Amino acid sequence: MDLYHQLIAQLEQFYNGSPFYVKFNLCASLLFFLMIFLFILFIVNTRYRKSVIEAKRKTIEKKLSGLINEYLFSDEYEEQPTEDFKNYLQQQSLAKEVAIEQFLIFTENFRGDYIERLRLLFEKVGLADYLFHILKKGFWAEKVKAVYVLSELNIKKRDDLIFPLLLSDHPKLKAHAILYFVKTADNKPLSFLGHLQDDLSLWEQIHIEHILRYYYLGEMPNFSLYLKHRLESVRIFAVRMIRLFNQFESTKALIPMLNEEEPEVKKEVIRTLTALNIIEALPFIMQALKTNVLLVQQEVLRAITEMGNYEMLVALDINLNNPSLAFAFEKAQYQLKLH
Amino acid sequence: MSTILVVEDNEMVANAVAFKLKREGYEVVLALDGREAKKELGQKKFELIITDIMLPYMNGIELIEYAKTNYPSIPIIVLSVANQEKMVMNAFQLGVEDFISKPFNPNELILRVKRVL
Repeated sequence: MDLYHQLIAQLEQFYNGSPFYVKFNLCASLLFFLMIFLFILFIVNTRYRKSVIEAKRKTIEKKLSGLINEYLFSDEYEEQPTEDFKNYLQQQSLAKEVAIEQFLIFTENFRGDYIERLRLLFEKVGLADYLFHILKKGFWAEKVKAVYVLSELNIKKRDDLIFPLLLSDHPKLKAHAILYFVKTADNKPLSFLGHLQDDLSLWEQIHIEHILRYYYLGEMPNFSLYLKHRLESVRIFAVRMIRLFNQFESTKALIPMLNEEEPEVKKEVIRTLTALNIIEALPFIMQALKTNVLLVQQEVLRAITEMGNYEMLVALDINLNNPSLAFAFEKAQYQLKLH
Repeated sequence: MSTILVVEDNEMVANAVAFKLKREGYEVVLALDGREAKKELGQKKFELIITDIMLPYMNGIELIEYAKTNYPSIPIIVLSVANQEKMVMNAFQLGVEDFISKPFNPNELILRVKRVL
């Protein structure tokens, strides 16, 4: 003990007797070594935590694997293990995350009546209720995950919790709510459009088309049902979809829409009638030329180029003061002459 | 009792396939990647191999090539997603007996296994 006190006293003496720059160097070195030590400690701690979590994950996966296999494939299935696993999940949030992840993997890999059984088990172990709870009180990013899982597992018991998400300010949340409604629909995949209050962005329109093409399994909806929607973007979307899905039966409903006030809608209607080659609509399309909006006038000229003839074009009563319109007219003239 | 080697990198799916096959009376050995499967092939005699295509370290095609060269009598069923068209074609060119696309129905897998064995 005396030796220790002696050493400390010597060090103190040395420190006090040293010039400023030596004191500074000593302090800086000590600080540096302390930081290195803390950094190493941090890395070791992170690695340790990671390995603990990994070990927990393995345990949860093993338990879940046993439960799912018994539930799906065994004839001697008993309720008690499900109840036990439900209680186990309630105690740990990591267990819920891992279990949800694994249920998704099973859903991706299996088909047939196994999917229905997986869904039942998912509900039995309380994971569906957990997701509903997140939808009520969770952070928006958690809600995105919850909606995604519900759409993947086709759990559609609580649409009432997802309708409000269609009005969300977070684009991702709104996009996932749309995905949910289209993907889980047996028919009428666009019925959610009635709940919208804000216009659909172009990106959202593309997103809906993509889900309809690649995820929705039912019969394609009749898009003309949405031609009178109060939101302009929905009307535009419906007109585009009539064109992209070749719904010729809806073209009759499109012609009255040439009297629409919104130029974007009118332009889209003309483009669709042209793309579907509805020649009998041409006289109505030509009347739209009276609209003094360049966007619509250019579209009318394009329609005449595609479905009409040179005589129709030169007989038009059109004011060509606008250089862009004059250019479109000349282009149409040139193309029709070529034909 | 036939012994089947199941090669699948997702442990949960591998366990499910093994569970189902065991219930049907088969003996099952699991391998989580191509290298492990190669090792198992050298240690035990198998009557069938069921393999995924996308595997770590040594992919399914390399494994099939190896198995068809060194153990030509063992039939092989590929259990994989169908969007890897080129790989599926390669697998058939190498002489695999059957292909089941994911997502799959485990009952259908059993029927195909019975047909091949």
